[in-house]
Amino acid sequence: MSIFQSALPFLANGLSLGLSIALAALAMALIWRVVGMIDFGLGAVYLVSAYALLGLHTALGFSLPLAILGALACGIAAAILIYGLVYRHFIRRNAPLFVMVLVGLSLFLAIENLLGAALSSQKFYVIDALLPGVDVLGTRLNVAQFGKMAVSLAALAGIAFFCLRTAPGTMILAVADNKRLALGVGIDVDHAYVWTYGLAGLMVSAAAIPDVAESGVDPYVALNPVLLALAAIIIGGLGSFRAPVLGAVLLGLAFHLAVWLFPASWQEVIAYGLVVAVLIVRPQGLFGAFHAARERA
Amino acid sequence: MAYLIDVLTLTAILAIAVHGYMLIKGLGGMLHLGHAVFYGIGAYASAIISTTLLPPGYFPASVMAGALAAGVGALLIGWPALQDRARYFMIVTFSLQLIFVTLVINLGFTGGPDGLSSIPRMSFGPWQPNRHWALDLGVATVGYPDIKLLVVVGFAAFSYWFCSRIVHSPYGRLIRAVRDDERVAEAFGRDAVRARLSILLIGAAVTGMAGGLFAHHFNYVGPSQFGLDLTMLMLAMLILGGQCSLAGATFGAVLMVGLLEALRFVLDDGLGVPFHMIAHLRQAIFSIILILVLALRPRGLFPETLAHHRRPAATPRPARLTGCARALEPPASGEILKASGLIKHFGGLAAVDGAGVSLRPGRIVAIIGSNGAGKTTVFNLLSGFERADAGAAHVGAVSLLGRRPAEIARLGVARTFQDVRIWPRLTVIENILVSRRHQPGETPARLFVSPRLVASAERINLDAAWAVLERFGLAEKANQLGSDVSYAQRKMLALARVCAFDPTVLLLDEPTSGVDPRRLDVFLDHIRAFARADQRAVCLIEHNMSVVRELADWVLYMDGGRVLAAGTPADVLGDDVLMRRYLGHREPVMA
Repeated sequence: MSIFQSALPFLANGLSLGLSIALAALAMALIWRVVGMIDFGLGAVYLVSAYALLGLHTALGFSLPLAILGALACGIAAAILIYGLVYRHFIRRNAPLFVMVLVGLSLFLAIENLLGAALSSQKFYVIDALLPGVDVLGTRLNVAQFGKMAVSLAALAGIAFFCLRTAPGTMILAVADNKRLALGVGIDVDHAYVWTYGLAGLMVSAAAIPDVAESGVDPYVALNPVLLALAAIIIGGLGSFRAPVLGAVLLGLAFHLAVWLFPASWQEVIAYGLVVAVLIVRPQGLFGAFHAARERA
Repeated sequence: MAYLIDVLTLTAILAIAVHGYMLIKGLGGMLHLGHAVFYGIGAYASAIISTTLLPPGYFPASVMAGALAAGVGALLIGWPALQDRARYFMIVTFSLQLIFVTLVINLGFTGGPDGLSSIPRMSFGPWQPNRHWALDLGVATVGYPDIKLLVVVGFAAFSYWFCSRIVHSPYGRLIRAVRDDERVAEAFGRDAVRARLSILLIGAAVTGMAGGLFAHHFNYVGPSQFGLDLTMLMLAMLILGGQCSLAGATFGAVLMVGLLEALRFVLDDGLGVPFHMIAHLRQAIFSIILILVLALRPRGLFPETLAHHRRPAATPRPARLTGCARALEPPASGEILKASGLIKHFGGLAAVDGAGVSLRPGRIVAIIGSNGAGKTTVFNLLSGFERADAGAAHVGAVSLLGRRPAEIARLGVARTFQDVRIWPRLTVIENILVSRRHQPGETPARLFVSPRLVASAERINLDAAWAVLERFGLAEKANQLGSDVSYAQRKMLALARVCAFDPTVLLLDEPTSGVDPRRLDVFLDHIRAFARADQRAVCLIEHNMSVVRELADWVLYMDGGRVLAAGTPADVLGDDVLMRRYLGHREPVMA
């Protein structure tokens, strides 16, 4: 077997991981572009919909499709509630980026630990059986992994369609481009933000549900997806909706190719090292403009 | 009792780490999200050195090694991360926070996931206590934990003194100026990146010292102790206390630990909450406290302490035009700054297309022209804020093009900004004090090596600053924040500040725009005095034709990036064709 062939399973796994990071990255990029904050609170949304799926399916006995719909709804509701109850206060006062980041991060840690206190750090499984899967390129990918890839490609197309072709979508884009001008021409910025957070909540829930189906849920499951999403944005940039997705794929590949080349325990160091390297060499991201300190008008 | 002493010891250690955070975030204004990394580097360095290299009895040396290691770490992180106006600092430090734990787990010399244990206790030379060491004083017995608490509190007091010396020094003032507006600090000859890097290094070293103390206090270090949770806890302490205040940083640490311990007591003893829930609830509650503090009192409990400078009563009011001692005698005549053929393109647009200017001491040159004519861009090229595509500019024999703003300023070319840009969170007199050159107190090492020199230089600096304030009629406002004085006063302060810098060439960008016409004469007198009394070379951009007529010895009319006409005010302003072109078809309005 050639070296190239031995890399194939890692490529397949990397692609699968990358596309599943892409969903959360897209959600985070949307909020970053429109509201101008790095929203770690998406971790809280992720947890809410993960535990909602668990509760609806295992505790209340809903069928899986119904439970998935319910979990999606919970995710959207959680994102909008977080905006309405917490973020709106800070956005209205023109809080600086650092404060917004801290608020999101604290909120995430608070929800994580409240869940840990209430339901213990134990891991719960939604689906007990091993998920069915198919062999691809010398590795086995299961239904959840295929689901993630399909959902994130659909989400990419969907969000492009939504933003370019629908009224709320163009409203969001207008606010993202120039908030003051949008206010000036009579766009209700608050309304645009509700749409933005709702949409981001939907995408994060869509990322959470296959993850939970695949590997269960405990209070710490949200940390990695959120951090990887941020890393994907840093690598890809915020220039277009494509950029964070490409960044996510690159990051997923880096994660798995790192295992191919180095001991597995160095995986995270190498992946986050890539992030720091990109920050130093090309801070605007590899695929377009990136504004870390985007001015919040 | 033993538990209380343990908690107090840890509180004092955390307070030191939060002092370091205050220097970096509060004083330096850097958006820093990886403080536990510096703490962890200090702890690990101290642990490794005291278990492998140092013989027992060298406890303070290993703590200092922790401080040193954290300082080196800060240099390695800060050097790349602080370039390009520190725009990505938050994300870099956050990423490093995430990497740090995995890195420590993977490295061999850090003990991997198990960490390093059996770190020796604090010991000085022959005094090497074991766990049961005790000293019977008759009235009470003093055990090792009591001594340890005393030592750690001593370190905390030292850290407070050290940081307070930094904060309330000319160096601290400079750091605050860089925090408020680094571009302006560069326009006054200071290197903003170096200033940021130095305070990051000092803050990290203080934090590393705390880490070293922690290693000796806990006798164990492991990767899980230095995660994001710890950074968030220290941030919550800092923000609760007030991020710009050293007292706030100290009090915040004490208050937060007190709150969390009280909570533990209530949950555990009062409500009988099971143990495994308490750790989660504590984390959840300090996160919620942080959100509440940010929402209700974002500045924290303690505000930034500003030095109140008392106006010297004994010294007589200096005559209006003295006070700016001349550092350099300019040549009595002849050009001091000459620029020609300057070209600057922005994309396809030629903002400056062959313009030039020549300045002599004692002479005022006015540049007029409509918006977009390239006037401010010429200033930006001359002061190094934009890089020229082509052309030549010299002060004396020294070429200006290609130099950084700070270098050009140090050559004696100072500028003001169209949008005023005073440092808003410095008081009026501090705005003057920072601007003055040749301050030994701006070097942090000198604060501790030669405090007398620093103090005497600061006295001279203060006297000079008061004289400048008197000259510009701002002495009444000396102790008000820059953001709190009126627009005209800020405009005046911008003139006073540039005067305090004592340049040979002054580039004034619309110094009188937006000033009440009744106050205009005062401004004109000051600008005239820069040239006539102080013998500086003055160049100003001006839209008010009556000001040009009053002040200028020579007028350049710019249009489309070129100098279309040059001559005496009478010549240029009297040229009807030019004036129509400039002002449209309206008649020139003469005030």
